[in-house]
Amino acid sequence: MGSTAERGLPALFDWFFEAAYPPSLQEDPPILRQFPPDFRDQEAMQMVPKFCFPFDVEREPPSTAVQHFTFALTDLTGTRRFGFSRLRAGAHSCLCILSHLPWFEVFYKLLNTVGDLLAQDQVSEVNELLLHLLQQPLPGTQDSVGLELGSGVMISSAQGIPSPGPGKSMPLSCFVAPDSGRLPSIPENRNLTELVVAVTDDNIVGLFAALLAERRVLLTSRKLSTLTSCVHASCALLYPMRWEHVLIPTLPPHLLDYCCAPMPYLIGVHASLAERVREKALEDVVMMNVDSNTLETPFDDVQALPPDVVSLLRLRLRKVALAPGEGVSRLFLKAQALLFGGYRDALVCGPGQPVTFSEEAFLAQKPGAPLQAFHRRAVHLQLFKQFIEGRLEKLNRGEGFSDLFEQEITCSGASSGTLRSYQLWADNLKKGGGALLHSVKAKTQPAVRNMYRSAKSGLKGVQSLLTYKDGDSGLQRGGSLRAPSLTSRSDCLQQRLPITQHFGQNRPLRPSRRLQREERPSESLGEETPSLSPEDAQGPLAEEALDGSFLGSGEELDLLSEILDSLSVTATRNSSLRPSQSLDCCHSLPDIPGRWRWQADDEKPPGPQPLSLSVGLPPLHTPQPSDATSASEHPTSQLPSEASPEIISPSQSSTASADPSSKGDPSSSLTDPQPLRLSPPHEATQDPTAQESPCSQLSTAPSPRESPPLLTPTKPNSDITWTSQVLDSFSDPGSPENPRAQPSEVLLPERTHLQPHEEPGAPRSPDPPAGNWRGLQARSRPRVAELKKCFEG
Amino acid sequence: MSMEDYDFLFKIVLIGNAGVGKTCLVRRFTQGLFPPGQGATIGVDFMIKTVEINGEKVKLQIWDTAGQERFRSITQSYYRSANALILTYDITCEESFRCLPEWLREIEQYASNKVITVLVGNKIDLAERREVSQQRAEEFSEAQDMYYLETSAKESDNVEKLFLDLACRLISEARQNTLVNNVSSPLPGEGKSISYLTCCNFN
Repeated sequence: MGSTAERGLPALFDWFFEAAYPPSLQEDPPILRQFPPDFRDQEAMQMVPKFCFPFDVEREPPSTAVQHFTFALTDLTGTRRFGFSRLRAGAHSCLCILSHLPWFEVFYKLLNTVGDLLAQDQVSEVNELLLHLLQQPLPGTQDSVGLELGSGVMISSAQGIPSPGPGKSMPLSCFVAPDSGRLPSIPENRNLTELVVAVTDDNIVGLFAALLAERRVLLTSRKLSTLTSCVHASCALLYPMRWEHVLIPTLPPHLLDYCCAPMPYLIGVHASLAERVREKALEDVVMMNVDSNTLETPFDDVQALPPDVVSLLRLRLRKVALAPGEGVSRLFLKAQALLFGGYRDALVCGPGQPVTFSEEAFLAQKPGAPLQAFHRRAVHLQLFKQFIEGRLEKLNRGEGFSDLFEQEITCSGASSGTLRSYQLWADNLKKGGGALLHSVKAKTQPAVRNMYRSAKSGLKGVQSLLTYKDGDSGLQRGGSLRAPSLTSRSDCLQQRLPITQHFGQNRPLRPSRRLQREERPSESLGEETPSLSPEDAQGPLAEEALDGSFLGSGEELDLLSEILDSLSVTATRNSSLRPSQSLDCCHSLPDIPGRWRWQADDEKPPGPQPLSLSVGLPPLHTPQPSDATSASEHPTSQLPSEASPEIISPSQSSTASADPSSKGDPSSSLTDPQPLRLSPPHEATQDPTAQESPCSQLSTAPSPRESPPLLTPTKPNSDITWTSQVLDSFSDPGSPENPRAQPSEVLLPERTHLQPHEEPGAPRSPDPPAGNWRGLQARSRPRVAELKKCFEG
Repeated sequence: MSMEDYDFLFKIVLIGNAGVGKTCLVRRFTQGLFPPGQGATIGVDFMIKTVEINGEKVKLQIWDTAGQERFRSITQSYYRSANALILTYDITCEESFRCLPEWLREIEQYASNKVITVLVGNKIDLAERREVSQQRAEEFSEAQDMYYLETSAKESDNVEKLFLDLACRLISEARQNTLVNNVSSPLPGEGKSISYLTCCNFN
C-alpha cells in the first residue's frame, strides 16, 4: 500500500477512518471504514475514535448540521498530531483524518469531498482519492493540489488552477498548501474567524492574558467546531510563542479526570460534559464559556500585562475584529513584540562564543515600568524559555531567521530598548569607536566586492530560472515565495539604519513610523494614494513627533500587513482555489467565486504586485554596505563607496522604473510599503549635503510602487528582482555586520561561503536566497549586542 | 474522582531527563492499580494510589507529562499547582545527574513558596554501571535541601518508601500551612496551592 511503502517520508496524512456513533459512553465507536485499509496501529485504532465523539453521547441530541472540529493528540515525545473531524449531520458517524499538518481548512475541505462521495456510496472513488493523496509527496508552500478521479493528483507549484488537461472538467477537489509563514487571516483562517465571531473582544484579551500566564484554561461550548476553533486560534495568538503545555482541544468523556492536572493546560470541553468537569477537583482554573461569552478567572492576568499593551489590544481589537484580513493577528503580533521584543537587546555574544541570553539584561530594561514587572514573570514562562532557546539555537547554528515577529519588532521599534541601545552604541562610537570602524571598513570592503562578484554569477542562474518560469503561474509563484525575503529585507533595512547610517548624528527615526496615522490597508487604494504624498513630505517631522508614542506605533504594522495582504492576493486570486481555504465547509458560506473577487480586486492591489515590491527593496540595501564602511569615516558624506556603484548598476541599468518611486510617484497603489523603503531617502533628506548616491540608489527601492507595470511578467523585470535580491543578501553582510566583522572575522568567509550555496539554489526555487538572507540578517543581531558590549566594557 | 473517600489529595509531578525511569517508577508504585496509559494520547498521564498513613487516607495523584524532557528546564508555571515534585535521575547516567541544577534552577528561585522536592536516583539495580556515587548525590541534595532516595523501579526497591515518605511530609506540610495561613490563595504567577479538598479534617 502506498502508505506503508512510503513510510518514513512525511505523508499528507497518516490515517483516515469513519467511526460510527457509539451506543453508550462505555463503548468505543466502531470503525466503519479506514484508509489505508491495512492500517494496523492497534493503539491508535483503539484510542483515537473516542476523540471523534467528545460529548456525552447518551445525552447530547445529535446536531442537525455537519460539524467540523479538530482534536489534537500528543505522543510520548511531545509531538502533536491533529485529528480533523467531520461529524455528519445527526452525528451518525464521524469522518476523521489524522495528520501532522495543521492544515485545518485543507483537511476540512477534503473531508467534505470524501463525505459527499460517501453519501453517494462512491467508496472506491474515496479510496482512489485518498490513495493519490497518500502517495504524493508533500506539496510545497502554496503549491496548489488538484485531485481528480482517474488521472490522480496534480500538483502545480504555481499559483494557478491545476488545469486538468485539455478540455477536462475541473478537478474533484483542490487546495493550496498553506503557507505557515503567514499570519492567520480573517476569514480565510477558520479558527481565528470563529474565535473572533464567538468571543467578545474583552474575553479574547482575557484569554490571551491567561495563556500568556500559562494558566490552566478550560473552554466550553455547545458547538464542537466553535470549541476547537477557539482553542486552536487562541494558541495561535501567542505567536511567535507556542503553547508548550497540555493541549486538548476537545476532551473525550473518558478523559475528564485530566482536567485535574496540576500543570498548565488548555482544554476544550463540550457543554454536555461541562457539568461533570466542574465537579472535579479543579483549582485555579480559568473557565471560559464560549456560548455565554463569560470568562471566569481567579487571576488578574490582564492587569498583569503592561497597561499600554492592554489598551492597545482593547482599542484596536474592536476595530480590526470586524475587518477581513490579518488585522487581528497583526494586533496580537504587535502586542507580543511590545511584550517580548526586548529580548534582542539581551542577547550576548562574545567573540568566538555562542550567543547567549542574559536574563539580567532583559530584566534591566525599562526599570520601574510595568513592562519590567511583566518581564519578571515572563522569564519564568515555559513559552518564553522555549522561545529564547529556539532563537539561540538558530543563531548559534548560524541559521538565522527573520520571521514576522522579528520584522514586527524592528519595524515598530517595539523594543524601544533596541533603539536606546543603538543610540548608546552610536554614542560610544563617537567617543572611541573610530579605530574599530576603520579596521572594519578595511576588512569589509573586499568581502563586499567578492560577494558582489559571486552574486553576479549567481544571477545568471536566476535569470534562466525566470525565463523558464515566464508563464503566468511561474511568476505568481515566484511572487508568493519571495514574500518572506521581501519582508525580511525591509526588516533588515530597518534594523540597519541606526547602525550604519547615523554614526555621529541624531538617530533618524524609523521611517515606518511615519505612517502610523495611516489607515489600515484600506479598501480603496485610490483614496489612499493622495494622502500618502503629503505625508511623505512631512515625514521626518511626523516621525519625530510620534517617536515616543508607544501605542501609536501600533499602526505601523499596517505597512507590513499591507504588503503581506497584497502578497496573499497571489494566493487568493484564483477564486476557484479559494474555497479550500475558506469557511465553505461550514456550509454557511457558499462557494461563490465572486465573493472572493471583491477582496482581491477591490481591497487589494493586483496580486503579483508583491513581486515588484521585492524588486524594489533590495537595492536599498546595497547602498548600505557602502554606508557602513564609509560612514565610519565620514558619517555625513561619502556614501557612494566603491562597492555601491557597482552593486547598484545592475538594477539601475535594467530599470529606469526605479526612479519614479524616488520622486514619490504617488500614482502607484501600494501605499504602505513605501515608507519602509523610503527610510534611507529620509536620512538623505535629513542630511542633504551628502548621500546623493544613496538617494539615487534608493530610488530603486520604491520601484514596488510601480508594480502595476510589473504585473505583466516581463523577463527583464523579473531579472531585476533577482538581481536586487541576490545583491541584497550580499550587501547585507556589509552593513550591519561591518562592525561585527571585527570581533570575529570568521564571519566574513562564512558569508561568502553562502553564495555558492545560493547560486545553485536560486534557479530551483527562490527560497534559498531568502534563507541565506535571513541567516545573514539574523547574525547581525547578536553581533550588534556583542559590539555594544565591547563598547560598554 | 469527585468527592471520594479520602482525607488528603496530593498532586505530585514527576520531572527529569528522558529515560531515567520516571514512568516505571510510578507504574511500579501503583502496580497497575489504576490502569495507566489512558492519557498516552494527550501528552499527559497520571496514576493514582491511595495510601493510609496514621489512619488517614491519602490519595496520591502522580502526574507524568510526555515531552517535557524536551525542556531543558521547566519553569514554575509547570509545577505551580503541584504539591510535590519528584526529580528523577539515573544513577548510571552522569548526564542525567548533571542536568539537575538546570531542572532545579526555577524551583529554587522561589524559596518562600517552595514546593516539596524529592530527589530520586533510580536504577540502583544496575549498581555495577553506577556513574553517580551515592555520596555525591547526598551532598547535592543536602545543598539543595531536598529529600533524597535511591530506588530501583525494576526491583521495587524503595519505591513504596519513596511515596510513603513523601505522603507523610505532604501531610505535615499541609497541616502547617493550614494552621499558619488559612487563606491559601496564591499570588498570581507564583506560589503553590495545596489541595485542601479536605481541609475541614484538619481541625
